[in-house]
Amino acid sequence: MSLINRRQLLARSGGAFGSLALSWMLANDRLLARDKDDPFGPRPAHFAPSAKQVIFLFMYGGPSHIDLFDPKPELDKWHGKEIPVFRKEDAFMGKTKPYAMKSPFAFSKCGEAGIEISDQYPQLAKHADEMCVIRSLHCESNNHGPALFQMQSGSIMSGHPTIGSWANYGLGSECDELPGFVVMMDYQGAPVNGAMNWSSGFLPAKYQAVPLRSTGEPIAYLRPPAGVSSSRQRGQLDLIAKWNQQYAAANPDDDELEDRIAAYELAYRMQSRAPEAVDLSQETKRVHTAYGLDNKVTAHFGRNCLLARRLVERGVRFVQLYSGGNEGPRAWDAHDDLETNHRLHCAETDRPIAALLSDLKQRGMLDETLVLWGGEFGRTPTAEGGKGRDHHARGFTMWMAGGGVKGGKIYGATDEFGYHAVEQPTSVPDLHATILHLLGLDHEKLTYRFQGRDYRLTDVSGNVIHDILA
Amino acid sequence: MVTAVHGGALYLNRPRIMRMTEIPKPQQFTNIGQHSLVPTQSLVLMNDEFVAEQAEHFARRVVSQAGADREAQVAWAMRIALGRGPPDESRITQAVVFLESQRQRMIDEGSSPDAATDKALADFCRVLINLSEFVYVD
Repeated sequence: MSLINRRQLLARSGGAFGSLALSWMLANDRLLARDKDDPFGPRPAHFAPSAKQVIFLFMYGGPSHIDLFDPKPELDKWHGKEIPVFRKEDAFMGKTKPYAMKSPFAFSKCGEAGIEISDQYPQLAKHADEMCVIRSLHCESNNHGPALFQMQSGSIMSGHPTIGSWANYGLGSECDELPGFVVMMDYQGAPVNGAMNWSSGFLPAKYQAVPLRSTGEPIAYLRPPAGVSSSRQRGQLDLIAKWNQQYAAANPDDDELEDRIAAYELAYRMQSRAPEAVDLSQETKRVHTAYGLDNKVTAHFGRNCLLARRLVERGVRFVQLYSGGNEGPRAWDAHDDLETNHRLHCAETDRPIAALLSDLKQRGMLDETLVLWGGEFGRTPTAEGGKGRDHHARGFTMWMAGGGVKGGKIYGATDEFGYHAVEQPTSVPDLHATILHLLGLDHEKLTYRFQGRDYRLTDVSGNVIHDILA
Repeated sequence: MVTAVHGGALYLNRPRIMRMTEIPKPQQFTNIGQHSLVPTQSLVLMNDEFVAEQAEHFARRVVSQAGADREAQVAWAMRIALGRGPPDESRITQAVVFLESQRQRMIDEGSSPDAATDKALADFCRVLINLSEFVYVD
């Protein structure tokens, strides 16, 4: 690159303004100890963060807010009747009706705060006082692909960097030997859009997520081939690095070449650290049981939640876990039979999520780890066919815990049918601005120049939700 | 690394080495192929047995075509792998230094001198397969 990049600028002028404005960060000896030229190394936040890392529990397919966290007794009264707020153009499927469908699940008030949670999440319900439930989200598409793009990257179009990439671009990685952004998929497979869900878009390629495998060894090829010693491999890598650098220098406009060198170095370091990080046999039987690893239904998501805890413990910045994969009923996409679908996916995730929150809390990590639960949209209060619900973008729920958000808090509301977000409506950019804020990043200042303009995760909107900050 | 062009029928049962790459999905059309660059892909080219085998085959071919002279081996191998010979003398020097130091490592680790020479050349071929210049299409 012929132009000076942000990192070089900070490194060169660090003595001038870094020591004043960012003196609190200098207490972080890890930051000082790191090589300034390490492309994955940590970078100072804009202000003191409350969350160091994020675990995003992504319920792919569109979990139903009105059956899980946003109860609507009015739907019982209106069951089978046309509700006045329904608009045909909001429905994704032609067979979606304007008639209300009551929830098959019961709710109870949980914790001291009395947050209402569905009986399908009995273990999670015990953490109500740690949860901040945002009931007023809305997004810009009721189609999985674009809605996923928006929830991940702020834009319903492909090609934009996803939030984990922005977090790592803004803050760098706290860990030398593991990637800063990791995703884990459901056993059913990847969500639609595949790797674009964790792409770095137009940010340098090194900020994209490393996917861990959903079965077997989480990372393939972690060991050199039989008979190849570490020093022999180091010899190969030194020549690869040297010649790749010469090649990158001769092709200065292709920043991916530099990122590729960094990817090799990280891969080499991962060989030493990652096997330990992903080795669940180091956890006690009690921990395995708590996460549900001994139960067929919870084993998969439990494994991923436990891996997530081990990864953030070792400094991984952003971990995203998917519940639900592929499409249709294999995800939370309950078009045909909401009750059966959500019973299954709640059963798969309830115990693992509860165990994750308990475990983080017990280890003193919940305060600095933001746990985020949600999907790309919610589901219609009206029936699709007889027993299903359609995609719904006008109002839905997500919740957060830890990382500097208020516990036992409900923020915003949908109307009496759960259709429109009416109180304190929260856009996806509002959500993104808040997540970045918790990480110590000002969403208006975290920019990247691309095609002649400065891009943000929140583009030209987004307001931090100050009401939910602890 | 990037996108394999010929995914085709292999989509559901991909060979091990292809599972870390993005491949086109037959059921989806797209204006641009999915693209990724992550350390786990580097691990494939570093550690996969198939890549190791191919490097050994390549090394045998180098000896049969270029003879025993190291400089000739380096020049020939680079021309086959990269479509061009070494850009300058320094590359040849660096490669020869590499061959000698890898050979010495293998002898230290207990290989016979002849086996060490073969392994060092296979290692050089493996380096070529791992180069950006090999992996990327300009």
